[in-house]
Amino acid sequence: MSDLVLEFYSEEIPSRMQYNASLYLENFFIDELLHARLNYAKLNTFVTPRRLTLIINDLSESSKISFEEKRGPRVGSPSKAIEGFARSLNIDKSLLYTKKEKKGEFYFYKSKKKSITLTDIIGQISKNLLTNFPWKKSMRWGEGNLRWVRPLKFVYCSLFNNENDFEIIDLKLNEVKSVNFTFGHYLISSKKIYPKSVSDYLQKLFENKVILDRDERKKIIIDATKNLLKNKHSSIIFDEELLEEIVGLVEWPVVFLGQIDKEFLSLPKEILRVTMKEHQKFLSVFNKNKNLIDQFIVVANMLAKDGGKAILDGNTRVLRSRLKDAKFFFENDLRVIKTEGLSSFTKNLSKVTFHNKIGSQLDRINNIEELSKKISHLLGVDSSKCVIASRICKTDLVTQVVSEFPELQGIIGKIYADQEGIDKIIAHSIEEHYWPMKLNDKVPTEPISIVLALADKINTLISFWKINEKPTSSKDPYALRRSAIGLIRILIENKIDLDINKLIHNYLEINVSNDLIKFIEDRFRVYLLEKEFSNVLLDACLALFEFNNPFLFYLKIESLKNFQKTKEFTKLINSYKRPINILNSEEKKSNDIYSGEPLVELFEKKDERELYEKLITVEKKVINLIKRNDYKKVLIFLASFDQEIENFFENVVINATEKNIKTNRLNLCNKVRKIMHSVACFEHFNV
Amino acid sequence: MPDSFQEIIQKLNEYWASVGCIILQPYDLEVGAGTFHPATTLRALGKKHWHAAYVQPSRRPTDGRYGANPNRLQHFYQYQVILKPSPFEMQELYLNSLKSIGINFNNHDIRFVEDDWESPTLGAWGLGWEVWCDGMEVSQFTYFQQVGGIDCKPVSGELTYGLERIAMFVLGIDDVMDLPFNSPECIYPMKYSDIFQKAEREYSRWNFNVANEETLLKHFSDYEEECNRILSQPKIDPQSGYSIIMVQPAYDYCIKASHLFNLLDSRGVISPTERQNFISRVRNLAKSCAEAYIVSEKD
Repeated sequence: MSDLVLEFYSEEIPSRMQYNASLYLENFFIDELLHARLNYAKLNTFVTPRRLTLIINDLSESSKISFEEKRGPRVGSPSKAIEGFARSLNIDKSLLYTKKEKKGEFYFYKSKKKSITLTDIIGQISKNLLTNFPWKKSMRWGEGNLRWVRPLKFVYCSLFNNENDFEIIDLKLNEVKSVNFTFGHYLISSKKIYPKSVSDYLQKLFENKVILDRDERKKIIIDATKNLLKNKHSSIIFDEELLEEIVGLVEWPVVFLGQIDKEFLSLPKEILRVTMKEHQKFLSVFNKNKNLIDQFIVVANMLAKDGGKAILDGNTRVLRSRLKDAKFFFENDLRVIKTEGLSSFTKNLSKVTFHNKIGSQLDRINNIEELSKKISHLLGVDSSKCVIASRICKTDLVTQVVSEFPELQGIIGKIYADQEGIDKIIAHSIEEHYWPMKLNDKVPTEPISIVLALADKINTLISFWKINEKPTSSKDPYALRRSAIGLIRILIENKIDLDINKLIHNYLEINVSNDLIKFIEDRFRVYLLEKEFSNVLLDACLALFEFNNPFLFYLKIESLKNFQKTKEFTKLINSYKRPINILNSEEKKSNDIYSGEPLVELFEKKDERELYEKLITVEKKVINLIKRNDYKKVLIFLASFDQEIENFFENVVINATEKNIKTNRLNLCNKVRKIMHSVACFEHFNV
Repeated sequence: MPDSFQEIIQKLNEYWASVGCIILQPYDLEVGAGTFHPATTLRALGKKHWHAAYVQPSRRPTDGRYGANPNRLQHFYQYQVILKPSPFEMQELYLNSLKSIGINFNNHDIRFVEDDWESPTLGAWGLGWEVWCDGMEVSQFTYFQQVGGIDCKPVSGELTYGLERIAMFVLGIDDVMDLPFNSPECIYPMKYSDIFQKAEREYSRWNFNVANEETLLKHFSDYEEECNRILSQPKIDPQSGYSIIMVQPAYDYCIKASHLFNLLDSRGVISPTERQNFISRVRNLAKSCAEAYIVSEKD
């Protein structure tokens, strides 16, 4: 049993790529070790700005010894040939044995295959990993051709057998040395480290100011922050994304609490938060009592001799100049709003391109306005307010603050609209029409915001489809998938009955429009699959229908999902399967489709008449209930004629001698099919 | 410890000379960044080794603030280092240069934060970082991957120090105009403002409101044409009989066109679509020059 440490030591790996790199390293080794049939007790990967490390505990030697059979001359060959064969293998000819094959009997020798050692295997896997690592962006350096995310300084790969008994594995690469040491935190401690075991590796790194585990670094930051914020009114604005980024910028986190100058406290919270986050990677500290952000947390990668005074002073100074800029922009914007009004920005939107084939942001809001008028009528929302909201929803794109901080779009619009005293609901819609920002973020719930959000998203999709700029499997630069998912979620979560198909058809050629609808339907499927709806269920409910109204489809799918769990569902399927099976096989034989209505006068048996009458009642009910979107009841009705079906198949022979009787009975089966298929294609279920 | 802007430059010159760089002088044309100097753009191409450092005055017309902003200038200085091939110990060399201008690592937090560099007008890009010192960006550190659309082989390492900013950090000054240009202890102490404030105002007004658009547009086309004309000449010079590809004269016109584009941009007369068009016109010139350079090196 051995332990392994493999460390790729490089110049600073971009923070956002670190976690995925460690994940890839882990999965790569798990697969390769499985393939090489090597066992181990534990396998972990770690990543810091400077190193990517794999640690395996209790790695076993390969237990399987393989043999190779070598064929020599034919039995009966001259003895010279046989002796020559033995000599070539460096053995005595008495060790040869004979075996019959198709072509005759030959001499053979079984030799142990040249044994592959553990070090060879690990070396080979590591080398493969190194030369094919899928960094999102990689580079060359110096005179070499090797690619890595940043220059790779060396590889440290050590197999520990016992304490003090270890072997350094050489990856034998021209461009990168395999070494028997590593470094600690290179700015604090420059000496080489020579680990004697896995625990010694971890211990020595720690002593030399490296915390290998990113979760541990995160915990240190959170704990230190709590310690610094003794005032119970203050707490950090938790920002997972920022915290993750910071964890990737430090090997030895040291946390400081800084104060924001008074002159900046009047700036909107969001401007403070975003300035600190985007430019300085500071966490914002919110003071509940004062209702403002008045402090910040900065995480350094240094154990300073002066206790961090210079570091905190320096960071505070940089922040001051950043906030001066932000304040300058904010005040300039406010001046324009005061003198000329927020709407004065709107005309400048003509100078900002949305997309060079689509037009300017002004063209964009004109489209949004038209769409929101239509949607507001369909949903019964105050149309005049929606129009006002449309006119100002993108105006903040030409403000100075948003040009400096694009991520504040919407939020700044809301703040400025508030400043101008615009109706709160309209002001809020400027921010909320961008929702949902991320996959699981909140969706707008105010009617005006909903209309605006729908109009914006539908317009975006239509505009890009019009110029044939669609997402590919790997690229979606305009986040069109997100627009489609947003559209679907807003409709479903707000229970909005809206036929998007009709809306879209007004703007696009029929085949383009169908393609877009198909795209939205695919997003709808992806969204529901993530919500634990099954493929079978989705196929059954979507296959036979034109996708048009996400919310109504959702209702049907959800009802059917619930119905699946009941006993009634089995009845429904039983009523479905037998007539459909007969129809399928008869239609296959005759190469014809039974699509006619059964004729009452051709019924001969009581059971076929009874089934027919039942079906007529059910059909009426189902049609009415579908109109009211009451799928729960629809399904109960579909499960209500199982007895009639059973009697029918028990007592009526479909294959009657008279052709017209037979056809009539098959048409009765078709009646069942027609009613069932008006709801879903139950063929997908195997019950 | 240096006590002035000029001493910081001297220290950097001394340091980079001590590790084997030639110390060049600024290029004598208006450029947006030290990268435009042929000592970087052209020398990053081809196979020959090259180690150079120099100060380059840089012009960014849109950044003018009439000399009133503590951090922004339309004319400022960059210190540029190019090491080709990028040495194994590039980062260590860089960190030692910071020590040479008095940054004490015991008390400061140095960070390499991902920042991939791209110059659309030069058709150049590389991977690297912004270097932060206590949260302040003090340098740009890039491993060139392509210049003029051509793969860099070997790869050059490029360092760009914003001199005013790093001097403000080292000297503890909050407003660029307050920087001591020479030693405050000398007989005739001069501040940054004494030398540049007036010019900043003058250029800000000219850049934003006065520069003649039509002249600029006309000259842009003239320079573009001249660059292409130079490169289209036959290799053999009829006068001397030598084979002469006039790469650098052509590249001068590429630089001039690029500066005119920046001026037009600050006049606010370029729409976003046109912007892309102008950028690609300059890039085409840069690409032609880069290709010509490769050919001229082989000759």
